[in-house]
Amino acid sequence: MKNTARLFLCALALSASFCSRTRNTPRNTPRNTPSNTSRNTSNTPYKSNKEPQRVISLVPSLTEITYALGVEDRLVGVTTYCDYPPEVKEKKKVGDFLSPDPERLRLLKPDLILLATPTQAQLAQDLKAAGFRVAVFNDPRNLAGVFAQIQSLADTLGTSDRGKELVDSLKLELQGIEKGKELSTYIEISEEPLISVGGGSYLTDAFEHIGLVNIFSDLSQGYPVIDPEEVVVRSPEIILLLYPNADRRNVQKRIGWSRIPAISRNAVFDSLPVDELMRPGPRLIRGLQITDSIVRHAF
Amino acid sequence: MTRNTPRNTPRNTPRNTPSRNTPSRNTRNTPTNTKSGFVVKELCFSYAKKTLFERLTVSIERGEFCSVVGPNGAGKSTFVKLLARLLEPSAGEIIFRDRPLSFYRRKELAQRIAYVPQESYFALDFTVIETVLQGRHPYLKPLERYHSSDYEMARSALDRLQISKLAEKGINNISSGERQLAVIARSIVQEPSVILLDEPLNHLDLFHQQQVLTMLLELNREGVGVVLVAHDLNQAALVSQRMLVFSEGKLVEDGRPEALLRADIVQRHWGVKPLEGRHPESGKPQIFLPIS
Amino acid sequence: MRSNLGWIVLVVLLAGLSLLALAFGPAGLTLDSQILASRAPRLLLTIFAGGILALVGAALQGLLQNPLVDPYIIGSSSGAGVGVALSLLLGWTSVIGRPLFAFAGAAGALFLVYTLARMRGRMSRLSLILAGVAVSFVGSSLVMVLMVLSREQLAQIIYFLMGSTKVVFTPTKLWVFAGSAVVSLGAAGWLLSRWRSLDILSTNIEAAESLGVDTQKLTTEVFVLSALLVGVVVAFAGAISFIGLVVPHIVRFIFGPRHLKVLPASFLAGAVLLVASDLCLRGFAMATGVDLPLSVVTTLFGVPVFLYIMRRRLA
Repeated sequence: MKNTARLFLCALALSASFCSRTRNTPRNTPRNTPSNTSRNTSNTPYKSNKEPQRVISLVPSLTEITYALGVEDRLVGVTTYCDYPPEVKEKKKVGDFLSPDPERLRLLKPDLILLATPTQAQLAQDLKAAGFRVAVFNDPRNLAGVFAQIQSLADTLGTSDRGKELVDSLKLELQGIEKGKELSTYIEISEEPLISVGGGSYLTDAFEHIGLVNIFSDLSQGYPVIDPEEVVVRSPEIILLLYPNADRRNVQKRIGWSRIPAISRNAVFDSLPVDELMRPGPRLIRGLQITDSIVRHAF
Repeated sequence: MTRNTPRNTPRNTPRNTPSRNTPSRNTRNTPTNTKSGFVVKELCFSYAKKTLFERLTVSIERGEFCSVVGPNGAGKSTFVKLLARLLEPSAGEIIFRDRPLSFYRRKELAQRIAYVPQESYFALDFTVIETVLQGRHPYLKPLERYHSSDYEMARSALDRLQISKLAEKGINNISSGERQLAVIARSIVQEPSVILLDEPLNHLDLFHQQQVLTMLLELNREGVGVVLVAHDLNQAALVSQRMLVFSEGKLVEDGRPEALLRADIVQRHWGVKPLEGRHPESGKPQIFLPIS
Repeated sequence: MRSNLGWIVLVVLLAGLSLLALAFGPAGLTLDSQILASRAPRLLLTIFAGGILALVGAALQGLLQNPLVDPYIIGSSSGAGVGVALSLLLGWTSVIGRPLFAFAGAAGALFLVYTLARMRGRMSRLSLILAGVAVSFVGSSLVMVLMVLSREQLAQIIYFLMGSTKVVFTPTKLWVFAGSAVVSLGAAGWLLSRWRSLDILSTNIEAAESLGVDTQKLTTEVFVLSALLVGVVVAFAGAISFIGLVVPHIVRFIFGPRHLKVLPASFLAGAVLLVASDLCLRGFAMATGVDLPLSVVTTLFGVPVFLYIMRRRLA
């Protein structure tokens, strides 16, 4: 008896220590891994005779696009993470984007649920199996993908024309940004540990459009954890801090970084439009514009 | 390196002997001074809401070889644990060598009283000699390492118990009898003035039983007190000078084994009427179970 | 003798691997003072984290008489996780802020476990384990709640808690770390001084008490010191898994069970293992561009060795 009790406790202790540490790989936005074999076909247009009237969006960027398309009245449910535009807080919340409350979903009687892969691939399958109609959109990996997603959602919602209008105006806005000299850029989205932006993220392509070349564009991951020494080796000319409470003074004091051009020339930027940039939605272009003016102003 | 072994504390005036008023007790000369042994005064102990000892009073002289016997559940183990300060009484007190037991610091007490449990388990695989060395702990400061004199004492203890050849063996790789001998060796190197043993012979074969009993007698002759909880009345009678019989938490008999190993007394407390006999060599009384 | 050789091997390995860690990196083989200045603190942190985790693991395994115990069982890593998550949520992520929060979280968890364990009177080893497990679970749940509340910082918290030695230092942070390390080494020394009592604790409690070991006081000491040490490590390097669990077994296998040797040898061996893992990680990242979590490597290293030892013991 004594021995079985001990064995049980050992097993409990061991599993406890594992549970507290091995978490599922983060499935939150923004993060995407390339080469995902999702069986949901990408950008599935909603095949039906009529346009969906009761839509639940489980993706904050898609929620924003819906508002931008002017069809927000069809939106009956959003996630707790959907926070833009401010009017969205009047919409019913169904939970977070990883595990929405199935009961609330049912109560809202949606005829379409919007999801993103690969983050929500499993959730999409589960919802399909539960009898909901879903439309799945691939996380965009570049600017073209962002525009394509806007159009695709517009098509799904039956507002293709307005979609094209929106995309065109955004493209125009993008062209309006004066592309200055090319600058090698280190983009930091976390301080501890150091997380940067890789080639797999749309941000790399987006920044390139305004002349800021990501030093980690060779990495295929979206948001890799990086070795601080790599930043030293790759010697960026500017550093962008894309997280709340960023303080450029901390970055400038980092040991071993003093000879990085961005540091020695004081080109570290911490007051950037993080919200706009971190969503692959309609505000992205505006975010790029603001970033561009901040950076070029300093140069 | 000098070791402080303050063993001769200045003696106070001897205390009064406690009164003994248990019935049918065989008389012996009640000592008027306890000579720095145990004095148990009105000891009360209860656990799990059951009272075991109620105002127990008894004295054990320094250097006495005392056996503690009685039927199951009588409280023998508990009594000895209380003497070793492994348990706290709920009322009353125990005086050891003219000082209350609770006044001793831990290591100080460990230099005077050694305790051998019924069965020992060892979670880590120390060698026998390492295990025996641990008996020197009460004499060492935290960062101090074992001295060569400690090693010598450990080795000589192993010699006395004739288990020197096991010195480098893992403590869990030897028989339970040999393990018990190692534990006794450990208590020897504590240089105690009294050793308390809780049914140490239970899982030993005859050879080791004899070794242990012989060893205890030897130690007693050298002046070390022994309090031995025993199951086997005959063995207890052979080695001890005094026998305490407990039954259901009461001290019902207290006297010399010769006087207590009588059929009527045994029947009264154990419920079995034995046949009386004598040990062929020493002539000491023994009892035999009547089974046919 | 086996153990003498063991000490030499450990010291040589540590020295050699440390040199490698200083010389080797994305910037290549270089004596550039700037680069060395950034690699050195990282190396120190790695040695410190690996050594302390293994030392605490050994001490706790000795105290709790349980070979499956790791330093996180006392709940301090979950507590530190709560602290870190809180600091991110509140925005107090300054150089001193985060380690302070992590440490405060660990101390808070320690207090909780201690109180829980003593609720039924005497604190036994069993009650400590149970209380530690309970607090760990509560802590993990709390961290998840805080993660949901903090939204964008989700990834940060998760990555931080997984454990990493790829830490970048500012001078202030370095000072804070150095100070914590010195105090921690003092605490570690205190643990080490209890070697004989820990040895004796491996037998019946009654026997240990009768030999003069104050088991309650010892339990409290080891427990408090361990929790604080783990708190410091998690504050700077996150929760690196497996080192605290596996290294003491390897060390006991080579050096025998005496804590006088096991504790310092565990420190050395833990440092060696973590520096080696860090080097592997770096090499792998340089070769493939993919970053692996540190715990993956330590587990990969540790498990086969662990299994081998278990087989040898049970044979």
